[in-house]
Formats: sequence, structure tokens, C-alpha cells
Amino acid sequence: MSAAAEAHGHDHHGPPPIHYSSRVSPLVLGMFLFIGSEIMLFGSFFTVYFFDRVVNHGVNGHWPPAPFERPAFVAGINTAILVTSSFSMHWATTSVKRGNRRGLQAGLVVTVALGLTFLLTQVIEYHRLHFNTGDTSFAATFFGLTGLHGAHVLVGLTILTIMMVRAFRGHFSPEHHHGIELGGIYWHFVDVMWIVVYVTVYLI
Amino acid sequence: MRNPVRSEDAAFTFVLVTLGALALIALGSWISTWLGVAFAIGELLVLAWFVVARGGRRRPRRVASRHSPPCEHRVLVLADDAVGGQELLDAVRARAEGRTRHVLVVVPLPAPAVAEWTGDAGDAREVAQSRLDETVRLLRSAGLDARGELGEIDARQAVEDALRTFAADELLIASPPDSTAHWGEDGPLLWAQEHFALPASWVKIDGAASQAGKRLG
Repeated sequence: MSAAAEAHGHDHHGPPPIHYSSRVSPLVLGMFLFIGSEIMLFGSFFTVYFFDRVVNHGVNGHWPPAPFERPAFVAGINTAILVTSSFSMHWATTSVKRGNRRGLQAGLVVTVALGLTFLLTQVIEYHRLHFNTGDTSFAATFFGLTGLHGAHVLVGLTILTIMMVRAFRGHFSPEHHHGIELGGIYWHFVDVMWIVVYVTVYLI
Repeated sequence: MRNPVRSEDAAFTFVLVTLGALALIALGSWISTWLGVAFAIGELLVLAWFVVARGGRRRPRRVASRHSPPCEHRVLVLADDAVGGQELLDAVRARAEGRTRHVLVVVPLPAPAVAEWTGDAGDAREVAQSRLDETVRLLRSAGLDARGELGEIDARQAVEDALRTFAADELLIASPPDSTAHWGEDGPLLWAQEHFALPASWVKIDGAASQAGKRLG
């Protein structure tokens, strides 16, 4: 995206300056590559899921194959929790832009709490299911997709926790809050992916 | 090129749009499988129309933050091909006398051809960085709190990026009088009005004066 002018100078000491091999700025290119790789990763899991569904739908006549039941209600509550966490994340970002440190801290605390609640609910949901990964291809793809998303939530929570600690230590300001922006983008991405997973795996 | 999820704001909007779009598909599927499929196809068509037909006509952007303290004045300088110079220094000095002035200078990188994407951009970046350094040095030598950034290739994007972390009170565009690279024949002021919700001024940088300014630095 940008490079600080003061970091560049003829009296440069230390490591050599970065060599840019492309005219696309590294941060933008990095974000594109990251999103592209994530789409491919989730795309491969969805492909397996739909392949399995199309193949088995003809045999059993309904989805999921008996005797499996999808816990749509609990997952629906979890969806509401995760969507709410996007709102609190947005509140935190808006707060830091306005110089409202209390709002930033409260927004991050609420987001982390909601993210943890989501993850714990998912773990409890797993324990209450009467099937496991090795039972059928449906079970494997179900745990594969939801587990992959859960791993992303865990990574997001780690990022959010670091952001929260930094916010309480007085880091970030209206001028310098790229850490919050990027963490927020990741968290919203995790939220979007869950909405897609919930609709495709639990609802339709 | 514009990354649709480059800001937290845009990503949050994307969450809401996804929620609405998939809720519609789920509702349609609940009524009838084929209705769900029809909704999905319809939404894809709307998305395609939005990207193709509306892609080039974006609404003016709101400034990310406009809460600089009353004792401060923040000037965002978009410096085009010819950066710096006495004209720019005078223009910044003339603003908000008596208040602490913070200046952020943004220089968009030179426009690339698609074929150059994977090519070596070192020279272009070095030239732009050199112009930026000259300008920042000049402003600092006049006692101003100035810093600089190399921005995106697209000037509009470069300003949007800067506004995300710099609560500018006004936008100052420094460019040669005949510059049309970023704003076409309409000129920079109309371009700025269309895309940014903050006061904008145009400082026409003359090549000779620009060199004089550089000598001051």
C-alpha cells in the first residue's frame, strides 16, 4: 500500500531496502493472494461436500442420509452470535477512528467474548452429535467444513486477543490503527465464511 | 485495481450483503429447491450487473475520520507527477495560521500496464520515492510536521488509503497545470468533489518553480 518516506534514505543502515518485483503494492498483493488461497481452500471443501451430497442424494432420497440430523437450531444461535461479533468489531474500528479508546476496548472485549462463545458452543455441539468423522462421507465432510471454519475462528480469536491486549496497553490511535483494520477484515471474512457454511451445510 | 475488501468498513458491508443474499436463498430453498436456485442465479446476475455496469461509477467517499483536535489542522497532499516546490510550501503555510499543522504527502505510483505486473518496478518506485523525499524534506525544513507515503497506483485509492489513518481537514492536490493522468479533462477539483467529502484545493506546480523548491530543501 505505502512506504514511509522517512524509512527511505541514502543514509540507510541495516538490511537492504525491499526490492519490489511487481508494481502491485505488497500489502494489496498479499491480501489478494490470501483471499484467493482461502477461497480455493474452502472451495475444495465445498466441492467435496456438494459432490458427496449429489451422489448420495440419489441413493437415499433425502439429505443428510439417515439417521443423521443436522443441529440447525444451535448452529443458528451460533450464527447470530458470530454476526453480532461483526457488529462489535465494526464498533471497535469506528471507535478507534474517532479516538474513543473506551469504545475500542469494549468493542474488542465483546468481540472476543462472542468469538469464544461461538467456539465453545461448536465444541459442545460436536460432543452432542451422535456421529464422528469416520462414520460416513457426510460426517467427514460435515466435520471437515465446520472444523476448517472453527480453525479460522481460533486464528481470528488469537489475532483479536493480541489486538485487545495492545488496545489496553494504549496502542492504536486515529492515525495509526492498521492492526485493527486488518484484524477486522479477517474477522469479517471468518463471519462471511460461516454464513456460507451455515446456509449450505445446515439449512439447504 | 481495487480490492473490494481492503478496508474494515467494506468488509463489514460485505458481511451484511452476504447475510441478506444467503438468507434469501435459504428462504427460497425452504419453499422450493428450484426457487432457491432461481434466487441464487438472480443474485449472481445482479452481482454481475453491479460489477460490470456500476463498477466505474462509485459514490463519493466519506472521509474516514474528521475528528482532528481544534488546535490542529491536517492537510493531505496528493502530489502528482511534479511534487513539492515553493508553491506547495506557500499553500500549506497559508493554511490555518496559529494552529499546529500536520501534513501527509501521498505520491501515487506511476500507472502500470497489465503486462508489467510481474515486471521490475524498481525504477518507477525509486523516482516516486525520490520526489516524495524531496517534498517532505522541504516541508520539514519550513518547520512543518510532515511525513510522506507512496500510495496506490490509482490516485483515488491512494487518497482513500491515506484518509483511513489520517484525519485530514482538507485535501491539497499538487500537480502540473496540464496534468490529466488521474482525473481526465474535468480537472482535479471536480474529481476531488466527486470522490471525497472534504474541502479540496489545487496547487498548480510549475516545473521551474518545483526545481527551485527542491533546491531550498
